[in-house]
Amino acid sequence: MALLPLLCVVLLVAAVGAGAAATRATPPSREDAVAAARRHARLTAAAAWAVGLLCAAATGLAGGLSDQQEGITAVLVLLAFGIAHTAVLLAGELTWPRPDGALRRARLHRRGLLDSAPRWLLWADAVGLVLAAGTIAAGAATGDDDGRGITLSAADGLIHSGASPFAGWYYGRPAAWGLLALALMVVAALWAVAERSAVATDDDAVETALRHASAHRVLKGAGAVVLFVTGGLMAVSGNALHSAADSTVTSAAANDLVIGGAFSVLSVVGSGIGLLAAVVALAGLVVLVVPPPTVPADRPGAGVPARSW
Amino acid sequence: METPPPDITVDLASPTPPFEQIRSQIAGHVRGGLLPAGSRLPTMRALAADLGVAVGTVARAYSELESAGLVASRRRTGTVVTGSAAPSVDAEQGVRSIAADLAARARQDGVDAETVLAIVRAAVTAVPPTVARTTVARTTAVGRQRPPSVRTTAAM
Repeated sequence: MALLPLLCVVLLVAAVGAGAAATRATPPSREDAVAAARRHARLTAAAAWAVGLLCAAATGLAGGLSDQQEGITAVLVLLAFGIAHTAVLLAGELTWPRPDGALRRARLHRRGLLDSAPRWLLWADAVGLVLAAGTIAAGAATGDDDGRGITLSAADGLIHSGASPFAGWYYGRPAAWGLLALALMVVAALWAVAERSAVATDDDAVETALRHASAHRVLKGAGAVVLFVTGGLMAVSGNALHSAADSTVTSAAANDLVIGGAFSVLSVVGSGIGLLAAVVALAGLVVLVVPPPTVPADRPGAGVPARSW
Repeated sequence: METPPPDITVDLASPTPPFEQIRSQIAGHVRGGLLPAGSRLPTMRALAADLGVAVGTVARAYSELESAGLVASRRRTGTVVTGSAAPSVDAEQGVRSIAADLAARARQDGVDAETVLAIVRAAVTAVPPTVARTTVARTTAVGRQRPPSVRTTAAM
C-alpha cells in the first residue's frame, strides 16, 4: 500500500509533463540535422521513461510486499527507475546522430562536464545527495542494532521508548548503494552529453539548447529520485524520532519521573525533520515537472540547402 | 563582446587527409591569433564526434601539433594552445642568414650536410622549450614541402 502514493505521484507527473510538453513544443525544424536530433531526443526521453517505469514496476513486483520489506521495496523502486532512466539517456547520448555529408564543421570550443547542466538542477541534485548522505549516516549511527528502529532511554534506563520504521542501516545500506550507482550513472551520462557530436546547424542557439536539454533530462530524472528517496528516508526517521521522544515524555509523566526537556526538543526536531522531508519531496516533484529548455524555432532562411552539414 | 571560438571544417572528399586538414586549420588559427596561448582545444573524442571522424584521426592531428610545439597535452586541462603568433620576418631573416653562413662554413671545412643537420638538431633540442617552440612552430609553417624527417626531428 505504501507504493500507492508513489504510483499516484508518477501518474500526476506524467500528466503534467505531457501537458507541458504539448504546450511548449517548438514547430518542427526545416534543417534535417536539427530535425533528426530533436527526433532522437524525443525518442530517447520517451524510452527512458518507459524503461524506467518498467524497471520500477519489475522491482516493485519482485520486492516483498510484507510490512518489513515494503519500505526497502519503495526505496528500490525509486532507485530502479532512476538508474534505468539515466542508463537509457546515456545510451541515447552515445547513439546521438552523427554528422553526415562530405563537409563537416566543428567549433574549437572545449565542452566541460557541467557546462550544459542547469545550475539550479545541479544544486538540487547536490543538496539532495548531501541530505541523503547525512540522513543515512545519522540513521546508521543512532538506529537500533537491527537497523530498523530507534530506541530512546531516559531516567537512567527506567524508560525505553522505541519506534520504527527508522532509516537505520537496514534501509540506509541499499539506499546508499543505489544512490552511489545513480550518481555514477549521472556522471557517465553528463560526460556523454559533453562529448557527443554537435548538431550541424547554422544557429548555435539550437545546438546549445539541445545540449542543455540533454543535461536537463539527465539531472531531472536522477535529481527527482534522489530527492524522493531522501525525503522518504527523512520522513521515516523524523516520524520515528518524534514518536519515540513523545512516548518517552508521556511515559515519564505517567510515572512521575523527571527527564528534563531534551526529549521534548527531540520530539520537535523529529517533527522538523518530517517537515523538511515534505519540502525535499516537494522539491523532487518540482524538479520532475519543470520541462527542459525548448529548442528555438528556425531562424528565417534556415533549412535552405546552402550547406550540406 | 567575447569572440566566439573559431571553426574548422573537414572535407572528406578532399585528397588532403582529414588529419592534415584538422592540423593545418588549427595551426593556422594559432598563428593567426584566433587561438591564443592558453586556449583549451576540444577533447579528441568530442572533436572527432563533431566532425564525424575517427578519434585516431584527431589524435594524429593533435600529436603533430604537439610535436610542432603549438599545443601541449596536460593531464588536468587537456590539450592547450602553447604556441604564439609567428616570429617576425626580421627574426626569421636573421636565422636564415646564420643558416647560410653555417652552410658555407661547413662546405668550406668539408663537413657533410647530414652532419650539419645533426648538429643543428642537437642545438635546437638543447634550447629551452619556450624559445624552441616559437622557432619550431615557424619551421612547420614554412616547411610544409620539406621531407617529414626534417620536421619531425626538429621538433624533438
